[in-house]
Amino acid sequence: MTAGHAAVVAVDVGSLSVKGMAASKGAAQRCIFPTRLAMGRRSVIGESDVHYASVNGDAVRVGDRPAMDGFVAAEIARALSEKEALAALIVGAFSRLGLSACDVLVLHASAPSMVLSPSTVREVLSSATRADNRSVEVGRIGIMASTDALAADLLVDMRGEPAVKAAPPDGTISIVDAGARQWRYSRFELSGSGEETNGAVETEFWVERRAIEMIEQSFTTPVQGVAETMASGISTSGSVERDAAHIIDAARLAAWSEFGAGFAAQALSDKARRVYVGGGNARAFSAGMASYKHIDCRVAKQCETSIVRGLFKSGKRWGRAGL
Amino acid sequence: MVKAAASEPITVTVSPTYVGVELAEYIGSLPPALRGTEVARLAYAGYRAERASSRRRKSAVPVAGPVVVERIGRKIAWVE
Repeated sequence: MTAGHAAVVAVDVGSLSVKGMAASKGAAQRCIFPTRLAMGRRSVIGESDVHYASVNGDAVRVGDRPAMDGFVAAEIARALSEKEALAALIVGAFSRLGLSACDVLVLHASAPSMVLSPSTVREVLSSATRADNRSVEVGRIGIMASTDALAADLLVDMRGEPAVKAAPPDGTISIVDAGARQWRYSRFELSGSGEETNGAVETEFWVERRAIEMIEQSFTTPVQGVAETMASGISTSGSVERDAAHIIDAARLAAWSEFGAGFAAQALSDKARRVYVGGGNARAFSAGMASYKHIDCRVAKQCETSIVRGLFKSGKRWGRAGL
Repeated sequence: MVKAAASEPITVTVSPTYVGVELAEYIGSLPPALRGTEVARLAYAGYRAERASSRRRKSAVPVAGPVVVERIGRKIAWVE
């Protein structure tokens, strides 16, 4: 195994941020960066933290600092087609993980413009290359839904074995992905038939939009970087950093009364007594669920990266089957 | 505690035809003073074993939803 080659790589292309995870020997590496693409190179000395991808020979900055103020759904350079943007983000994740090849790649993309399908994924990947114009070499590619990835995160451990203690042996469990653009659920019957129900509610950045509005109202300065602010709870404008965690919490609580309670009723539907929540806004869901005393609501550890962890575990368990 | 006088003594025939060759030899090999209590102990052990219910025994821990786990695995779309 040469340097830059990993056995399993997982990339979750989210609406706000891209999460990557890889393991070659020993410890897993991970990376997380905003879903943001800009054309051209940045002429700054000491730009070691800037990662580039290359589309048709043009340099693309992946996950660089924000260029726009206020609420922006995603800063994707208009010059890039949807395929090229998706490929650049995946290549950017490889670049940040310090990898150029892998045996198994497991993917999930949640943005509606970035649809991954088995027939086109190879073509999509080939539309962007690394900064040194070499393409990323991938053996086997798997595509998963986000709630499946979360279920795998709950039911499989890091070695890829079924987790005995993590999950209840029977009953019904709801898996909830509280993302930025959509909140989705899958309800699984753990024993017996394994019956499954799926559903979703469109949130279209409701939490983020509300949080950014409230921060701008109370601080009277424009917010720079939605993904960074939501992840760190710190609003930066110029060189001044201000703690906005309580404002973001307030926005999440408001989201519960706006659509959270109705969504929870749908996701639980009298049957499920257990919920496993992941995704960036998992806290918004679990904060509301605190009043449901008869429901066992578990939030994924490091909920922002729980989906990519599930993808990674799935790659570990099922990725090598065909090799 | 129950007094020794309160219980009626019983007689048990220990011979190869009644209890089997193996058990008869085992009882015969013991010191005479121990034979009675040993027969009683074995009888009680047998009684316990016959009445043991599967519920009281510790069952194996079922792995959480193995069906569901494999079902999720099958839903992944693989591209070779």
